[in-house]
Amino acid sequence: MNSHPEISSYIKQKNPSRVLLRYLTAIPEDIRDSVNKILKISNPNPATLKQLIELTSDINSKTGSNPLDNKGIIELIKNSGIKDAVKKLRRMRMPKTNKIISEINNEIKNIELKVLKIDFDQSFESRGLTLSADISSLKDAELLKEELNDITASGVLERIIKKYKMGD
Amino acid sequence: MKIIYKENKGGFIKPCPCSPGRLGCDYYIIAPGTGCPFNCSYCFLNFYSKSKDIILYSNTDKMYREFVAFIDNKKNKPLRFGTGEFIDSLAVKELDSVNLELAKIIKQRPNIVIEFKTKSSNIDTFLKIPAQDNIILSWSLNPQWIINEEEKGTASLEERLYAAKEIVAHGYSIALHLDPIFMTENTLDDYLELVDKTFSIIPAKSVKWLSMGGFRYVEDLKLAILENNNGKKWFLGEEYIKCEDGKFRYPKFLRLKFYNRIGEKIKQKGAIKTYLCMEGAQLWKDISWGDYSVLTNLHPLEIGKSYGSITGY
Repeated sequence: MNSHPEISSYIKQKNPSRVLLRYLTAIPEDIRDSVNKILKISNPNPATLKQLIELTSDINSKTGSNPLDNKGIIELIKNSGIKDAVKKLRRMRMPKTNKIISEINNEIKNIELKVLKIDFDQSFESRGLTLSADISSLKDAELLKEELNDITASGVLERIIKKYKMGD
Repeated sequence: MKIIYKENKGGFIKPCPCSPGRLGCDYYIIAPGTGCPFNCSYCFLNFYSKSKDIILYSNTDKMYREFVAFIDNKKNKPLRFGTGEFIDSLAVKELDSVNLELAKIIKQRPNIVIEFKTKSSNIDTFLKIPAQDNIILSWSLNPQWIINEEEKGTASLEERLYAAKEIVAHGYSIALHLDPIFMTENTLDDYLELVDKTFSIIPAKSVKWLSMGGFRYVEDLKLAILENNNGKKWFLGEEYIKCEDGKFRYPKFLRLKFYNRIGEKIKQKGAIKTYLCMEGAQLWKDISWGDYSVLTNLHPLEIGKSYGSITGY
């Protein structure tokens, strides 16, 4: 780390975890150079820095390129902060999963439900969807029955379940 | 890499370390040592053991005594054991005498099965003795290009399959493990072809059990892989979800797709007891080719489905 003075100084200042230190040592040199540059313009907490490095490393493993070289990321850090850059990297890191989440959310939005609520575990580890409703009158209950009927009969519920379970 | 003999001050027999909340298969590990002459990039030994040396336990008499006491205490209960969890069962020649002694111990105990799992083609030791029904030799399999890239030093796919074929011809039964399965947009066909190739060489009825498991990792393993591979490795760039047991796995919809397609292909080859390693009950419910009751029925004795409990559930 001697050739990366910002990183050395960060380590002295923050005394980060062994895991973060291992990431800093393990990553390729060009990514370490980028992290050094970022630490000139930002002073993230170790947890955020670890997320940034880990996401960058994963994208680098997949694509071979260094996403921190992207001027957009550096500008984002300068203008909105490193957490927004981490969010962007997270979207880049999980494109397929994010696409499925977005498609399911769009399906739910398009149904325009008044009483019924459809939720799902965005890690996809649960078995299926969670349907819930807040009922404060018989009218609500009738509406719930109607909405359940609609989403079942129209096939939209089946579609959402299939997308949740199978990804397509 | 050296072989170091060391006394094992702890126990030699333990349940296979299944994650909490995942369905186990009632399997026990016998640990004659730790370490491996092979260099599989994804192996947990990369972080489990800092040293590249192979440690063989010198107090094998204690191991045999512990094993005998364990199995005799279970009073004829059908049990499965394996020696290939922390070490490749057949790749280390110095383990040959240990393997033969274990085979001898179980010769008169037909309820006890020992699996010797390997990525080698070292079957000579077992070819020199008469086959026993309760000895299972098993092979981990992957498409050849993955073996080339990620399983350095191991036997080729064909070498493993032809070794398995030879061991079957000698009268043994075998088991197979598709683990880890690397699940990317391009690899499903590779695994389907792997199943076709495997059963074009090995008779399906000789396979006593077949397991599947998607690649999974804990953070320490990921760091070890990065540290050993100049900071990057292609399969670490795929999409993973952190599961409740702390392990990162491919998203469930991807695991289901692979398990279902590969499992259906396996079932076309024959009635092979196929199971998933370290998956939960929820995923099993969406498996198209079987259900998790197979986990209590993996023992070749086939005495019924209720002899054991599903561990970890």
